[in-house]
Amino acid sequence: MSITLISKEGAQFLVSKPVADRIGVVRDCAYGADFWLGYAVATDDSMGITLANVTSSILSKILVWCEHYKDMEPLVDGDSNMEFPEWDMAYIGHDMNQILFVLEAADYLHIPGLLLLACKGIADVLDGRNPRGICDLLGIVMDFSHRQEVDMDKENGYWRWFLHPT
Amino acid sequence: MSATNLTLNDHVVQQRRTSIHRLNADILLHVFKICRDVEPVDIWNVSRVCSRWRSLSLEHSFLWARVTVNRRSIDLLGYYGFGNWLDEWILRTGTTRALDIVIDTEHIDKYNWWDWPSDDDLGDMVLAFARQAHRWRSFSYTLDLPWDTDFGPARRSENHYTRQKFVESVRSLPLLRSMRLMQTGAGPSCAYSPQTVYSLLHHATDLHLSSLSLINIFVNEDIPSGKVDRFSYHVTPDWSFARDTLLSALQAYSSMRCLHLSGSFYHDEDYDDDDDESSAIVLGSLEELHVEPSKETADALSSVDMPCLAKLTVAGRGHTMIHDSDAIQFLRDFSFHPHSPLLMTLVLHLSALRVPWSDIACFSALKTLRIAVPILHFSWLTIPETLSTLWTKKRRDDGKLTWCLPQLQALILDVNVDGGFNHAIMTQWTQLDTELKRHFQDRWAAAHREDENIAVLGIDIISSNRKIEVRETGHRNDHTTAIE
Repeated sequence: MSITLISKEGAQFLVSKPVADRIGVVRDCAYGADFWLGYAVATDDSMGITLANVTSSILSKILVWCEHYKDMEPLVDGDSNMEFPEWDMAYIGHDMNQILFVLEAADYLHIPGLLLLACKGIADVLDGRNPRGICDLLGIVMDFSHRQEVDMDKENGYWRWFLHPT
Repeated sequence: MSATNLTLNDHVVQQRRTSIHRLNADILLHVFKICRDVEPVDIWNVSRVCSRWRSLSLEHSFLWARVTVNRRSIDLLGYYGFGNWLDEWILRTGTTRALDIVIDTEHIDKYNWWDWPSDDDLGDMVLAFARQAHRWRSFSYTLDLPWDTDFGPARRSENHYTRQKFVESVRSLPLLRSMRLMQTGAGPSCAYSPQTVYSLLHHATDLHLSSLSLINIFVNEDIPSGKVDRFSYHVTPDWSFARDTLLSALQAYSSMRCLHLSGSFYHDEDYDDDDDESSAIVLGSLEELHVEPSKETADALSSVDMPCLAKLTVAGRGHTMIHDSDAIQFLRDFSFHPHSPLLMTLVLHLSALRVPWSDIACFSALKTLRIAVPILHFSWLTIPETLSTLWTKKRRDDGKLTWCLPQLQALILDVNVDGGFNHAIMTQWTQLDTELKRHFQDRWAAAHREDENIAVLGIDIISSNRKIEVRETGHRNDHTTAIE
């Protein structure tokens, strides 16, 4: 049995059942398990499943992961001290934009193992960066309230407190 | 005014365009948790990125529950006022959450000796943590101080007061499951050394440790051992303990299931070997032994009975390679151990290419053998002397032809290829598979004959990014996996 997945741009990807089984949303659609979530239920093997929020390039990358894990279980445990296999780390890479797109898609498609790997990828890229560096990397604006700024001034000024406690 | 509006609008557009802002709180928290696990002090950085990240991180006390004082946290939060940020950190953990505490003074030599650490600093820090002792889930304390550290005159009255406070706090450790204590250099001369902390544990009334790691610490048999499942005992090269000190430690935690052992243990001339035999130590639950080989360790273990031992790992610390002569001698000595023929798994880390098959063969019940070895080229694996002991029958002393390690089901070779993969190695990869299959054909065939009592052997060859599974032809498809 094979299933056709249709990306946001309309590109079609024919995947085998073990590969499709890695994608929670597709699994639910193909076997009609989740009517209440509002997904279309495929009754015909040839029927395509549209994944409207996933672009072709991200879908093809995700299918590489699904293909790799079609016969084995990925890490899904909540303990983040675990070591990911080298293949996983090479797969996720260090391109923050790419990792974020994979993360969003993994969340949308219900792929817990890939979601966890993408979280690990982001954490690794953030490792060793200061807050300003993180903001620059992710395009975040430091939008603290006055109260938060006062609190952080205290944190940063502990050494001054030590010298002049009054 | 219009300029301000433009800036705000730009800000909003920027926020909407950034995919990090579309992530829901659960996913962000998961990212924060991994950041925290990689380096606990990074949660402080996370809390200073933007208002959303700050609110999220401060609202979730679990993100702060790994309180760590080490070089990196001092670099980020500062040495001066260190007591203040430590109090703030502990405050952010809430009042009931279990805590993982790490104190590590390694690599702090960039600080001036008059700045850090003083006896008072260490006393204040240990006491600040001790006040939360009822919440400790794990406690790790590494005190590594340069030999020329000068604590100055000890203020005995204050030390005594702090000590009393500490003792009162550690009476109840209901959540503590894991503890690691290490001291080296001038560490032991400190009033609040890991040895002192360990010694004061005898005041604890409800100690339920399952994992204990001691490095350069003398074991005190008065301390309630509870049911320590994993015990690690290490002595660094600049220290040396007498053999009876090691044996006392093993005796104190004799219910352990897993033991890691390494270091230098000298034979005390005053120690009477006759007494040694009469008080032989029995580690009745020990299933796994991980040992850094040395003659002294082998000597010490010769008087320890391990009737349930199933897995032996011979390697350096952190699975580093060791001198082959040490490993071979250790295996040879260990093979005389009364229960060594029952060993089912052997893991061996070698630094050179020669595999000591004659010594390994003594462990006749082995089902799994894992060897980590650096090689220059895969062709080494098909050189007869490398694995031929397994693929050819050998004549025993009684004249009978037998297979070596007849119960062996899994041979795992962790190979570290010099220079990584290149095209030439890729070409030989397939040839290796074919060659090994050809060599092991007879052994596999014998495994299906009733008169031969041997198991079917599977071989895994693992390198940094490749794995090859050599399996009996016709019974299971073999395949390789790779990162392309």
